[in-house]
Amino acid sequence: MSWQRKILRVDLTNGTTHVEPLNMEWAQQFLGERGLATKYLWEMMDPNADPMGPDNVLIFATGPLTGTMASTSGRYAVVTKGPLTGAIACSNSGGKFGAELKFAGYDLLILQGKAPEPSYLYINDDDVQILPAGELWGTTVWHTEETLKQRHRDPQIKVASIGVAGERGVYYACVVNDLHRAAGRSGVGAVMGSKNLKAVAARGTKGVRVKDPKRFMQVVKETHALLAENAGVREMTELGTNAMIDVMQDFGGLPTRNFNEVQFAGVDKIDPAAMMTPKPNGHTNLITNKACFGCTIACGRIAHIDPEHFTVVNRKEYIHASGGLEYETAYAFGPVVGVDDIDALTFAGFMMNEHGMDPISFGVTLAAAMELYEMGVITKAETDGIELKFGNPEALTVMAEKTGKQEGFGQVLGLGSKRLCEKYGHPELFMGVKGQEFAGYDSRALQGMGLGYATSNRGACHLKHDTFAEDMEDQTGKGKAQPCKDSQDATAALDSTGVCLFTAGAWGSEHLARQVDAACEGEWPTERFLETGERVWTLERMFNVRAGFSAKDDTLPERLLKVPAPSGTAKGRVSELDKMLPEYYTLRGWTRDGVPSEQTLHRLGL
Amino acid sequence: MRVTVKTGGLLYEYLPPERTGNRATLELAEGTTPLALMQQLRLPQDGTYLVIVNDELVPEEQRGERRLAEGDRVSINPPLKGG
Repeated sequence: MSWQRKILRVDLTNGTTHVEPLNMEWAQQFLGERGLATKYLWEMMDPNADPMGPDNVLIFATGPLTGTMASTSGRYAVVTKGPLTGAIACSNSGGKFGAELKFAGYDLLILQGKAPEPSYLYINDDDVQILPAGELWGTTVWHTEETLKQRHRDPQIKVASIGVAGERGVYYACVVNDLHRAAGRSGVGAVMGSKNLKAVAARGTKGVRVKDPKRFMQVVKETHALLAENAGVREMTELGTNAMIDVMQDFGGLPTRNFNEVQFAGVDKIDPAAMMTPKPNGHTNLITNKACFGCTIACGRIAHIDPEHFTVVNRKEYIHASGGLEYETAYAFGPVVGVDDIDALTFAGFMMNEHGMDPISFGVTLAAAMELYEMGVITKAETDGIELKFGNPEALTVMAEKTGKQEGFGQVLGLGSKRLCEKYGHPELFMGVKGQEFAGYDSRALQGMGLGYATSNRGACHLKHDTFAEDMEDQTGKGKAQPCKDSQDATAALDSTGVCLFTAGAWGSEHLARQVDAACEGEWPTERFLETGERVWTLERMFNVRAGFSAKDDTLPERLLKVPAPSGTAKGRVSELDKMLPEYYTLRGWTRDGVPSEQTLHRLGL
Repeated sequence: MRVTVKTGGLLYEYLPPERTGNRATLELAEGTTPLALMQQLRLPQDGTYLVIVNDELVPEEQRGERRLAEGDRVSINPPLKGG
């Protein structure tokens, strides 16, 4: 129960599909979504395979709670080997696609090989077809979704697709579903493109059954109430995740101008208040908030661009409501590139969704290019005549579009920051870990965040651990290893259920375990739930070890390790990663080289 | 003495009506502490907050001791998690 007990396996090379039983022994060990997909990936592919080659495996995975009455139960994950990093990639998304795939009857969709021609996968319950996508190739995510709904004469179809960025191998291309929700990080969209797969269109009518409906409904009622009563959740609902930008500004942890600074003078022009305040011409950026499937938080923002703004003058197709600024997009199009034009930021966000790109990686890559431009390393001759200076809104919006369409200098930006910085002979300007760019938190102000970045299995990531409370109480590295490790395990467990990380402000692991226990076969006390998370984390690590990663890769740029924060509450501090990392390895039961010991693997049944 | 207060998230709801957005300049008695200021604003007492005075973090145990001064910039923020 709760699992559909079925996997849809698609061999794109041979054009065949077949349904097979879910391995329930693995489901009991790894739960679902992130965890279960990691287990299948581990069993199915060589971690040394070329991430853009046919031997890479691409898995769309729902969780046992996906599609149930649990709040935020629309999540699914895309798990594969990431081209941006060469490490395991796990990017999850909300919207409605995940629930629809589950309703069609599948826990996992496993894609292997490479289609001989551009194709899309159509799933309508048991009817599964690989269909030609020739006329869709080269078009946008938004066009693809609309076209497939019309072609199959079903507006209820849910579509996950890639844009030109994914087709052309932008290293941080994402998979976008429901127009503006995305499995965003690590280049999972580029893997989809490398397989000649434009889209997955799903329609399901089968529903989801849980083990103990009466108890599940009671637990869901209680956990819904916890969300409704939580002050932090109310912040998310009312202001969106961008509420964080004012906090990081005052804290001095807001990466600005490629991490040369930690506070941004223009923050008041792009924060939630700015989104909600009418401009002199009467235009207000924010229209409303929006929820994903089953969500009672509704953190999503729906916004529109001022019709008088330079980005949309004579471009009426962009004068409409679409996904608005969240914290990470505000950071990646704002402070880190020095731009404070809210309409330019919103337009850049539209470009990410329309063409299928990760805004964090794009913004931080552009920031590095801007620094190189200001150093004179990149010239105007290379940037298609654009002044690639920090703070130039035109540089942001033009390059967002060029990268999405893979035109001109956008092809260079599509490399990602690490490859771009290496290309120009300045690898030290790459701001990230394992090839993936940092989110909007500076590791000199938030020490636990730095440890989380350094050890995240998918490269720099703020979503795989939670040390916010510890970081804001104490700005040293002391005592950060334990909460980092514990929250990594708890988050891995949460990510394996099918609900959203943003429930974590109100729900502890015990609340998740109770929902899983009521919904799923087996007994799921909190201890087992958390051990499942540790097992998932460790198997991800083992994938990376096999792919050649080790302790040498668990590091941060010298700018964060040696250059003190120039202002804010952490002024004068550098990251204390050197003190935190050995303690972290010890807590994990890993060797000094960052390899899980035999004892640890045995303890976790790996 | 006058201090400038800036609030994060929805805490602007606790600022006096003459606030500008999430900011207000307040006239406080000499020697007011951050804790006394938070009580004066009637912030919920069961909450945990991030308090910063002039770019300096003020831990919870110091909020009842540190004295604010003329011209101080006080930032009070709710517990938020990343997005």
